[in-house]
Amino acid sequence: MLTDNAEHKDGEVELAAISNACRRIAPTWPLDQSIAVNPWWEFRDQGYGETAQHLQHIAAVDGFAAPEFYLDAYSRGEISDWAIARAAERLQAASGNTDPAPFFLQSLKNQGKRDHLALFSGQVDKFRDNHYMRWQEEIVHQISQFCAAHFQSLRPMLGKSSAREKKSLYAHWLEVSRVDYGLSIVLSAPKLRPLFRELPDSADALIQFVVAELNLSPDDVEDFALACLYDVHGWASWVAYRQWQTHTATGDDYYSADVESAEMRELLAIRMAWEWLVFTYVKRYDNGLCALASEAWRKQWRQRKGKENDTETVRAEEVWGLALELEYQKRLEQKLPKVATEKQEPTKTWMQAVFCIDVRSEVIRRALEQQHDGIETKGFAGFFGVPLAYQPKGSALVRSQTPGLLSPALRVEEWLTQQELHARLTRLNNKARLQTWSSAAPAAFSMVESMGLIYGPKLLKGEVLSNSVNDLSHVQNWQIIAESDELDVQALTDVAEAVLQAMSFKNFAPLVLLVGHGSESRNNLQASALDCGACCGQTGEVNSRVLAQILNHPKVRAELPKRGIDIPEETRFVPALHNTTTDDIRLLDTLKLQDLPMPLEDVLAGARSIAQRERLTRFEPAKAALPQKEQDGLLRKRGRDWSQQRPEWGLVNNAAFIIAPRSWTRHVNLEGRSFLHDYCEAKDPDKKVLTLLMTAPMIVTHWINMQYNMSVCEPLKFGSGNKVLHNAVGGSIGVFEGNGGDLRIGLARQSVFDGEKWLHTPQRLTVVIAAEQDSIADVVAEHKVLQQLIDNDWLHILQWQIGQPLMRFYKGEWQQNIEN
Amino acid sequence: MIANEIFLWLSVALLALAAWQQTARRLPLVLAGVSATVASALTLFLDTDATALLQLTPLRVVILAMIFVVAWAVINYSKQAIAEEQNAHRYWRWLYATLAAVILVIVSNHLLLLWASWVAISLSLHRLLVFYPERPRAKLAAHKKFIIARTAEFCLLTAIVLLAIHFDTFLLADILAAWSEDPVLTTELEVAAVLIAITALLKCAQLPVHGWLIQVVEAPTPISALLHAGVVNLGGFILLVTAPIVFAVPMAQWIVLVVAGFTAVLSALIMITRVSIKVKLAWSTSAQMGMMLVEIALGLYELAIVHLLAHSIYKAYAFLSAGSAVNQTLQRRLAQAKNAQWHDWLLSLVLGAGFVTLGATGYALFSEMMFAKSAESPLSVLLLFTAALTMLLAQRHSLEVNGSILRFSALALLLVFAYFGLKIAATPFVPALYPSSAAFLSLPDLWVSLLILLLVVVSMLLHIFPERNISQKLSMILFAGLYLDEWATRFTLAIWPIYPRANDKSKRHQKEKANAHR
Repeated sequence: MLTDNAEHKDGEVELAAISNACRRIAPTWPLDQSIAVNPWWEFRDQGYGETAQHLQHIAAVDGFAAPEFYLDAYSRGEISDWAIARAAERLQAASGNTDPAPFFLQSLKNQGKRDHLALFSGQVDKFRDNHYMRWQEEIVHQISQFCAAHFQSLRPMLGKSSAREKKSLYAHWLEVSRVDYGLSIVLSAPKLRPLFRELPDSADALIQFVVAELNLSPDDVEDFALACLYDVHGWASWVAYRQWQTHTATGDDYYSADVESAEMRELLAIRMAWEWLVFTYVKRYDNGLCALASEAWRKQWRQRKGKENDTETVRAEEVWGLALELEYQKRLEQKLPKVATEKQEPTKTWMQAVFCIDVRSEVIRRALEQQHDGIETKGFAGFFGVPLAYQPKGSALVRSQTPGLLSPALRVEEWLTQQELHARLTRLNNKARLQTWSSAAPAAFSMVESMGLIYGPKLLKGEVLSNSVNDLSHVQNWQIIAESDELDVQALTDVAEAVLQAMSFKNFAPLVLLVGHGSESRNNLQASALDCGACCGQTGEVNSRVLAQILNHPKVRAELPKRGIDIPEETRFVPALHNTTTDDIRLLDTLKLQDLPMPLEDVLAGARSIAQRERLTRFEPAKAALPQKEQDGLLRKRGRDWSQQRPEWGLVNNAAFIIAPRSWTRHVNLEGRSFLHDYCEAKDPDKKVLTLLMTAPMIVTHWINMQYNMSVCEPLKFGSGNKVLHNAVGGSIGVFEGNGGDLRIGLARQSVFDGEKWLHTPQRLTVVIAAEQDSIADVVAEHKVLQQLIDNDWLHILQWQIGQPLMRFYKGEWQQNIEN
Repeated sequence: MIANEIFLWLSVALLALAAWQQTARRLPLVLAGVSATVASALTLFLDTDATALLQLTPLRVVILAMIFVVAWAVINYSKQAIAEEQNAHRYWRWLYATLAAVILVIVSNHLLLLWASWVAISLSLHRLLVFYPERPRAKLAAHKKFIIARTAEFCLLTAIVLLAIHFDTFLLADILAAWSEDPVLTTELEVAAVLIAITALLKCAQLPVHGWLIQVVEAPTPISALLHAGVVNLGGFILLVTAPIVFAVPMAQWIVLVVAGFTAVLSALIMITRVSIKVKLAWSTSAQMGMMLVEIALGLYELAIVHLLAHSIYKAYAFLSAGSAVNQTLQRRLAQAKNAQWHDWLLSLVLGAGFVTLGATGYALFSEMMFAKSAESPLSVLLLFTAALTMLLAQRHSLEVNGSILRFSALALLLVFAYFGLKIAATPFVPALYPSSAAFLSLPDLWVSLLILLLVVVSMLLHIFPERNISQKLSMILFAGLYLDEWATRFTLAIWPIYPRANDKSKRHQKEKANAHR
């Protein structure tokens, strides 16, 4: 890396390289809206395998599961020789081998620990006496603590809020670090502090400075910058989130106030500054160490190009990863019906229930359909197509209930009388003031002495604060507002029309449930990760209530026929909420339902029992045989237990997204592994709905899938570690594992691991679409992002026509996915 | 041996057995609790035998009760939280062992027994702190604590030996009785008193040796709860049971007043600059322990007892419910504070001072009537309480709605009632022979008042004028934790590294370097 004749005149090359590195980090959402994200989203223009290989080399992160995972699956017969051979062939990795399975088995077994590039600080640590603090660890700790202080919103510390001069991230860091005497002490580097004085005052200047001082060759700048950002990847993801907010306005700038356009570069500058500090420190004060470390470091980068081409081991992983996916696709194909099954004796449909596409809905929907032939279910994105933000009336807090990819267009608030509102504001004020007071420095002592003991009963009962925003939303009547005006009937009808068309209703039953979903847990920092991703990590309650209100509105109902949508007068839309912890479906409307073929309570209770048993059988076979009542009690207890680290399994083991009419999959057990969206091609002549499905819900499912995959494959960088050690940062920005280190993103170990084994199988999403090949190809042709995802192996697209084999779409070509 | 002692031994034995068995069950704790309750009940009917190894006084009974409550919550919580850990059996072994040792410390009358179980607590807890040995920061904290704990134990053992030499007995009850008959200070007693004071400061994580307490949030949540709610109090406990002797020595008293006093102020200020919930809680513990030690040094034993108990319960709850931090933030965001106007501050100060004066007067009258002893409150604690009530009353508005002064005054009065009521309730738990508190406006009182004023002024400055230059400078220094712990870290690493040894090249390099120097 320290090339002797590197030229640094070409600043533009460098700048482009730096910008490239800075745009590679995907956002992470805050804890109160922690939706799933593909942490490699910004690498989608590269192949999956290539990305995995590249990042493994420069940042030691894995994109595939550990070899043992595949070897176990192989020994259990879940990956066959056939699949390995087929995968090798597809990846053109067979290299003339007639029998690839033993070859790849061997190369997986041989895969040892792989080399990766170290940062200079890491290289110095390898040679440092172990009686000293390690540079790299302390660097991450310092940056992380500083970032938390800089970004925490409720109580901006360190004079960040100064009205006179807004400080950029880097300038602020420099100011704080220049007066920090502690770093010199803890690192046993007494002359370190004065070095901060030598750092340039602006981020751009600093980056140029470091590139020059470390003598980086232009070819290496991008990777070096990326390696720096990956060292503080958690905070880089947080910066990416703040920047994301600037182009999807949610009406809430609580977390993204004062965001700077080049904030990522500022963060990079901080991390790069530290590389220079370490380099300069050892160069000046420990020449022997500097020589040793530089030599090793330089050697690594010199050998880098050669190493990247030596691809055998990575190829092995890729083959195994794909083999696993092929096995799944083969099983899935066998399950899907070969002939269209129409209802044997047509029963009148008396209830339709619309669920979120979530994999957990698949289980409860199947259970619900089993209750009566006259029950139909539908799959739709859980925000029900109403892009809203919820603002509790009278409060400044605005909460998006729209997928993270979109901006909410509507704002809703509860309809309250003046008295009700005043009572609510007073109650909220009292609670908030008491809480703030309890933690104020001079008051905390007296608080403990006078009211500390009242925590005794709470301690014994395990009572904790609930989500107070959710608590406010259990209201019947809503005001629906766009900009600042309440929506009129025409505007409401527009919303209704768009939603109903996208839902592709053929006819309407007398009872239509709009079933949002939400999880139940206590004392859970990552609770929102279990709620509805389509509602931006909230429960679907508000969306389902608001949509029902619109669809039941008499004037809207009178308008709709004019737009070609005929809803029988008797049809009622009823908001409901599926509790994914207990599988309860609770109606959110107190209407009397008469003349139903079966009492609704019985239907819902019956479905609940089946779904509960199925989940327990899948995740905890030991509990599958318990009597129904005990199972019910067990699951209910989890939702209320403050010590419970895993109230439910969430979307674990998700594997497929099926876009097809429900009648095609109604009798198939998809094992809670499939997202399901209803789609009827006949009703979508201009492919508007298909386009929407492939560009919005499909991306969301891909993000969810990748979040689970990466939390298993790379738990250190893309998983958030052990929940028992979680420590909330900046109120609700994110978590540390323990007292410091980098900000942690992704899922906790407990979300994917049961103490003995991974319950999520890392495999890329299989998307199955029931549409004409040309339609799919056309939609893909129009959207670059889809081409990237498909052709760069981020997901699989399969076309499904009843009675035909599944066809695979890849690089513009159609091929039979699995030949018999 | 008498009956109550047998039940106490049984209680400890049950917990020790549970540790031996590595059980995750709650039954041993329940039985131990029952057994301790029986022992406490028997104590009421039997004369306490001062020659016994174990002893129950009202103070010890109430602390015992608190320990069982916290232990119950911690064990209950751990059952689920730790269930899937590979080494769960080890967790249970050392958790039960810690509890057995804690109980033994609380009921020991023989000082060597007390010391031995004191050591046992620390050693068992050490195993819990390195429950995840792969975490370097957890190891660093544990090593730091290990070094502090050994130092504290050495101090305590020396103090015990000195006491035993002077009084010719290891039994604490006998020592206190002998002291009250013949309270004459000798050099060895003075040294012993200072050593006990230092022990308490070390065990209560006072500045500048607080770092271990902050960093052990690397341990599983329930272990943090146990540590912050139970074990950290031991310093306060040892001071409370030896107070008449320790605070007969002005130097010991002043060491506590200065060190713990500064800690209470500085840790509370540093606490508000922390970025994560558990670390905030840990700094708060350090500050609260400081205040408790100051109260003991002021002779406010009943207040210190209330503080010890209430803080334990509160802090155990705060740690175990740290998972609700997101919801706490939402609660605050729903009604953001409006800055108080100067007239709010003025009115609140008048009301707050009035309420506290009212409470203090009532308390003094009632106390004289009930316990026939004068109960003059030092100015410092009244000042602290007044500051707290003023803040409560002044900052009662949100951006959306004004808080009602009536409602908030009612709340303030309720707090006054609770505060003085609890002081009265705690008075019977203070041994009769204990000296009365520092007088109003005595030197210690003035010193503590000064510190409290410092706390109030600085936190107001940071809160009301965050943009002033001085506030920014202060907040940076506080954010850096006054650079105190860095020395401890460096020292700890120097004698006990947390990383595996660097590879051979490094050794060669060190050798070369050494040669070059020669």
